Amino acid sequence: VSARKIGFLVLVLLFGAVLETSWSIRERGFMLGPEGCRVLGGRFYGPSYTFEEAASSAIPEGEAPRVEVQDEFGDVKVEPGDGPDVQIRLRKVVYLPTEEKARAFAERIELRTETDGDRLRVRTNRDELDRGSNVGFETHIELRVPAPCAVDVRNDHGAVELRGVSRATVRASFGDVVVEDVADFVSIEARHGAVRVGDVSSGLSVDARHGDVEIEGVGGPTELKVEHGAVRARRTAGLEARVSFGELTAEGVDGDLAVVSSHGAVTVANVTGRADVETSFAGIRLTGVGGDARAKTQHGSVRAVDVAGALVAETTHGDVEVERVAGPSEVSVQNGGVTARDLRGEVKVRASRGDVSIDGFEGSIDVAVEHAGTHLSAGTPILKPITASAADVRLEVPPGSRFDLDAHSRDGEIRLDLPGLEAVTPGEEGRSRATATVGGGGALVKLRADGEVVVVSQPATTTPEAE
Amino acid sequence: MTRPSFSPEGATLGVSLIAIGVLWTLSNMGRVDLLATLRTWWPLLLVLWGVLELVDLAIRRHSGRS
Repeated sequence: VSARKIGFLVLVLLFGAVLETSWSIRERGFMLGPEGCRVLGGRFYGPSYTFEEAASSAIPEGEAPRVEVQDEFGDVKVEPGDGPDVQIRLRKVVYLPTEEKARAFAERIELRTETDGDRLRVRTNRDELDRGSNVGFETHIELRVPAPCAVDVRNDHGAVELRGVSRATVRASFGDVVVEDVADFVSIEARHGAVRVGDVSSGLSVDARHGDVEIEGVGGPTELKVEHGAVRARRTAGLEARVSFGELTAEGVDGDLAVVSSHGAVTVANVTGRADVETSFAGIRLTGVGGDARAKTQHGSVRAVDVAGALVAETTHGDVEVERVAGPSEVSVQNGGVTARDLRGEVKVRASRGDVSIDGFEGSIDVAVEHAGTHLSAGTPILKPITASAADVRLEVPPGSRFDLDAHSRDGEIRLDLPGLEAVTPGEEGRSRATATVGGGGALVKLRADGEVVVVSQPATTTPEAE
Repeated sequence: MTRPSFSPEGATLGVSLIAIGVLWTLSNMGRVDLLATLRTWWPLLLVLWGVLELVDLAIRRHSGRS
């Protein structure tokens, strides 16, 4: 017998062994080959056949009738219907290799409807079928419900779509969720899938993991808890969000906004009420806040523009940029600088290792900078107290200012270049300290620097030559 | 000029490939259960090979006499 024949015999026997092993595994419940097979994510693959079944059920009587839908593998879709009854359509997708087998199995899949008080429960007999077989099958349920009807949906592996119901509660594990045009409160709990909500007249609550959340047009308070997904909200009432590992963008919040985030940037625009934002390892951008604003981050920058109330901005390892704040501003930065323009209220700044520049302020100023300088340029005559300490201090004084100056430099010079300077008194330490009265005196302007202190008159218009 | 020799295993392999291809196609069309069919009928490969070996032996003996 030649080696070739022995090799061929081994090949044939191996082929048979593979077939027998596959068959054995299939009989134990785990399917291989072209048969239906459950894989990660709850999907089936292989040849499949679709069968449909329709039914209708009367809506339960009561003040608040409710329809509960429960599914495990398949999509659930709910839309408003015309008649007084609930119209149900069940689409069965059976993963078996032949149509004959699939049809026989599909006939065992039943739609179950039960009425319990004012509740109508819609589900299938999947539990019973799962116990006795290993066939993969999906049950897609479509409902048409009378409009003033609350709907609860629980689905494990499949998308959920709800439109035009009075109230909605959704719990989904693997699949996207879409809820639109709901008259009352909406509650969504999603584990692995995107969530999209639009046009909800009342409040909204979303608890989502591993998926993006998009919201537009919510008339009541909105509560979001999102992990591992980006959030985009437009035209909402008061918004309260807790976000981890994802960006949040909110536009048009009619009320207060509160965001606690981590590892994600926060961008907010047009909030009529108060904005309170906290994150880490990313930046915060606030534009157009009708009330007070608070922005706190670590390892990120902060930008706040057009704040009608008070502003509190705090960060580490990032810069702060502030523009047009009507109320008092309080800024605290470690390892970063501050650039501010048009501040109308009191200003308090604490910064380290970054320059602080304030261009245009009306209220009192309290600036302390470590290891960097500060540049203060008042937009209107200085009439309120200023306290500034930094490596170098430069103050530009507009015409009409009235104050008492107390300047001190530890190692540098003090340069005073003001036309209205009435008296200069060198301090005990000679050139390193000076007091002066400007415009007849008034509020105390106290400047402390390690290096140079420069106080100059502010030119009417800034030109390159003046710089 | 030498006549090309008949190879029983080559013929078996050829018939097997044709059979598997046809069954796979029928399975994709939903006509047969591929795994169940192959698992039931695969031992016929051994039978087919054995028959072809006997035919080959007979041919060689017949050639030797003549």
